[in-house]
Amino acid sequence: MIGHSLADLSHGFAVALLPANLLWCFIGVLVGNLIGVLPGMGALSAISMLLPLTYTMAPVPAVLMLAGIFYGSQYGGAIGAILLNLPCHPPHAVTCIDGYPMTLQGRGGTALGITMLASFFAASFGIIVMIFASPLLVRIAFAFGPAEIFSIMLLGLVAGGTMSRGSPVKGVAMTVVGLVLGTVGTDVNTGTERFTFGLLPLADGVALVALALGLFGVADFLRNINRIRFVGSGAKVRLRDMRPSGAELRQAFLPMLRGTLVGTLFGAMPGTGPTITTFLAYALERKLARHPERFGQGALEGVASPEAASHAKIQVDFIPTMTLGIPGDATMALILGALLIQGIEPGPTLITQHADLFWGLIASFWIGNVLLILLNVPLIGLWVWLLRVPYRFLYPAALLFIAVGVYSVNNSLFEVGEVLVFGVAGAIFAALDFPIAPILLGFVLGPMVEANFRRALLLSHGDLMVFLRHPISAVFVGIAAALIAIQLGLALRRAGAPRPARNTAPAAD
Amino acid sequence: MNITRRSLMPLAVGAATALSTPGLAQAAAFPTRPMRLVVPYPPGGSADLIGRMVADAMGHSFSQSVIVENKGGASGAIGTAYAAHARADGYTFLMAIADTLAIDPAVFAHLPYDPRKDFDPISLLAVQPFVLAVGPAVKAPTLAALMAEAKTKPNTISFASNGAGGLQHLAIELLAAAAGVKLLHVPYTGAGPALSDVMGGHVDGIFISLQAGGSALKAGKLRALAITSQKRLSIAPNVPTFAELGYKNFNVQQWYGLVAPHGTPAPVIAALNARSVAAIKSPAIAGKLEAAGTEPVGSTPAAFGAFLDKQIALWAGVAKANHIRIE
Amino acid sequence: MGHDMPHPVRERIGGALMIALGLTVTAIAARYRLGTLAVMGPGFFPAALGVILVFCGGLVAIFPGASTTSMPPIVTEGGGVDPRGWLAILAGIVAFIVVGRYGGLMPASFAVVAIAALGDRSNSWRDAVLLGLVMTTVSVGVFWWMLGLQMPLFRWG
Repeated sequence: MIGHSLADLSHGFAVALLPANLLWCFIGVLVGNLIGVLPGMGALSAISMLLPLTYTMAPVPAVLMLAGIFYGSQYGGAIGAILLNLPCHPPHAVTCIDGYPMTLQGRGGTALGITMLASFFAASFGIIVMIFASPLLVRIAFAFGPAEIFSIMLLGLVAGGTMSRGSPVKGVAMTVVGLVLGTVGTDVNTGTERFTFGLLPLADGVALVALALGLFGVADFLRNINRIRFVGSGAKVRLRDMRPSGAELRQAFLPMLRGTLVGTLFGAMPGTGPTITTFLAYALERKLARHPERFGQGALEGVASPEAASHAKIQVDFIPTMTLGIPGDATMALILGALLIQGIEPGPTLITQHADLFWGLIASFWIGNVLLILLNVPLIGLWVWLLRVPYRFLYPAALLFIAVGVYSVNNSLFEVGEVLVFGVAGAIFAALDFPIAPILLGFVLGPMVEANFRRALLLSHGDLMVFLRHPISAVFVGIAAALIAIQLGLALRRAGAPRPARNTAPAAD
Repeated sequence: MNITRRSLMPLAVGAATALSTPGLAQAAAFPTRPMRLVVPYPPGGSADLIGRMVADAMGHSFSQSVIVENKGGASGAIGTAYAAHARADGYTFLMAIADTLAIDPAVFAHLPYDPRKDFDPISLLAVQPFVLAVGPAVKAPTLAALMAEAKTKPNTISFASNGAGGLQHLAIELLAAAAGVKLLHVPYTGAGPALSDVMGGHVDGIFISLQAGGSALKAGKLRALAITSQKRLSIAPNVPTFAELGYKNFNVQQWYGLVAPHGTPAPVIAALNARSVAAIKSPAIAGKLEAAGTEPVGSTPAAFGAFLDKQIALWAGVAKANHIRIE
Repeated sequence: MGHDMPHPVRERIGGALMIALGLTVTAIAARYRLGTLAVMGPGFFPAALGVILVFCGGLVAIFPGASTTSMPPIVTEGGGVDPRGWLAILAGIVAFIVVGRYGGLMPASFAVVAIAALGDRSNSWRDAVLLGLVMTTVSVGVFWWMLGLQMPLFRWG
């Protein structure tokens, strides 16, 4: 079995290394990487815009190129988050929290290097899972019904609600604001429109990209305009910094592994987007850390884990898409569409009937990830140059990219308007010292929590015990309860102890 | 189940050479610039795939490109309303499906368009039957056995759908009414998560197209109990039709058609009809659709209009009888 | 804006904002059906969220000290409204929407960049126009030409 897979894999390498295929893979990775750095442009908009181009291509190069765009843009998004504090795409909003402080401390190169390493590690793990363990993973994913998904998402909320720096009460309040935003739109169970105020474009809910770029992008411009002259003033990014030291590697290894496992699990579960995955990986890391107060100050773990998670997820996402025809999220739905229009029917027979495509794609994942590393050696100069662009030129340009990027997801100018609203709201919240990241967490988890809660109760005829009767669900509910208990215990103890003196903040221009 | 697959011909070339419809003299001045086909969904779905294939072939036969404009949102209502208010000159037309033109008017209290007053039919392109498929949790070997079980245990046999008030939901209600049972409807956001929970055994059954559910059926993760087509399909010869099983007029099908904003000149409609029918009947496109369990049609504008009226009446009846109304 | 100590006024405003938000959400949600546990209505979840928000807001407003921790703030120390900057950025986005709707991608790209650039006091009119032209070229080249963005370059009415 394993020997057979290895033989198939070497055949796959032969396919992927054909000059034409290699070229398309390279083009995909390059285009994806460059587009990914632009704020607002993630894999979803890049692929939906470029999908029609592939209709006239042969199947193998078409799919290799799309896959290359997919993980190339994922990597590109991390660059913008780390260097410019711009979550180019929602999943990377969480990378900003620690990645950008690292840049300010002059460790931007290390952050990029660790991201690259984490993505390569996670992608390799995901690929190995794809080759050897996809049936097992699919079985695990099927074991997650509404009750289980509700419980794991609840755990995510509890773990994540207090994940940002500052007051826990404010963190919870912002999570709830995110949950409320998540209820905007058509109610899944009844079709009733909630909080849409008669506006048709709100029927599908608030646009995730608009929310993320409003809260993190535009809100930041509003707060920083006429106050800073360079985003990364004093920050140096050099090629040799990109190679992390032994100590940094040791520090990042376990978070990387945990992030990979989170991404692998969520990759197999349809409906969990990449944003949920990265936020939960970050929250998990912060919960496990011995010094959680380091998070938000440039903790390496806070970059390694979510980036590993997002890359593991996108690799593993291919399993349900290719073998069952069930796309895990909107981006995979596009790749599925590309397969269908090429006359390739995803399904269990895909591996045998289109061995070229399947094994070629797997081999190209590896090749593509190596290309990504090679590509970013010369590109580092470009990223360094980005840091030197004066803020007075940077923010108007970024605003254009945000507007076009948000528009491109649904070809909707209304969603550009949403950016405006959330930008103002984010600036107000930040001025009042409320943390922003939990809003996004509540927003992505909320609809999953509510829909699966109601679905589970529908199926159990209103019996709340269903969440404890299912063993997997019971474990997650138990951990969530324990976390709340610990948090309360800490709060009580802190109330008794005198408050420690504050350190001074690192200088920011 | 045996689903044959045709090898793929490069689409554009195949379709273009297959089109030899003579140009229509009365519409000689049309088209003089590129046209656009509004698809009210994001790229990648069935409506988009069919739309793009037909647009590409029409573009070749007109020698003017037909650009597909994806205008997704609100289950298709945004793009449909957008096309309804476009200039009625033939340069804008719309991909219409059962949900946007026949079901939504019956289900939604407020809709920003009227399916018959705002649009003129061009052609019914294709119809897509649904299979009733069950997951591993269901032991009943046949549809009759499943419905008998549902009769003894009302509101227990659960069916997943891609959302409240959509075709999959109304199909469940229609089945429950026809069999005289009560089924438990469990809505999801989109067919993917719904399908996954049926395959995992958390929900019992689902109405699904062969395009979306075919691979799961082949993998044995789902079992097809019946199909809504008039005759058995060659790609699924072992699945009985609802008619065979005693469900007369169980006409639950997804369909895809082209409509133009109301007031588009008749010669222009005729030109669009001729090119789109030729496109959908070309071997390259028809073969691909049939292989995925979709039946190419290509009707006249009048026949499509009559079909629309019948569909609107059908779903209005189902929605009314089952009190499905969304405010 | 100083971060050295919890700012009671700021905390009170923040708390009051949360309470107001929570009350609004609950009031709107109460108009949707609440339903039962087995068949939960669309109003149940948002109504519950609104109540929690009011509760959180109360905690922040009443105990300003309790809602701060030992963690220092980092990075952005922005704060109060810079009127010129806010006006330019917000007007820039509005311009993109309006000009994009009626004029097309090219004028819209120019409008958002040039208007937003005027918000920075060190940008002159000339800088804004030049930056606008450069970015419009980039926008057309990258989005329209290379990526095939579904928005016409120019649109009449």
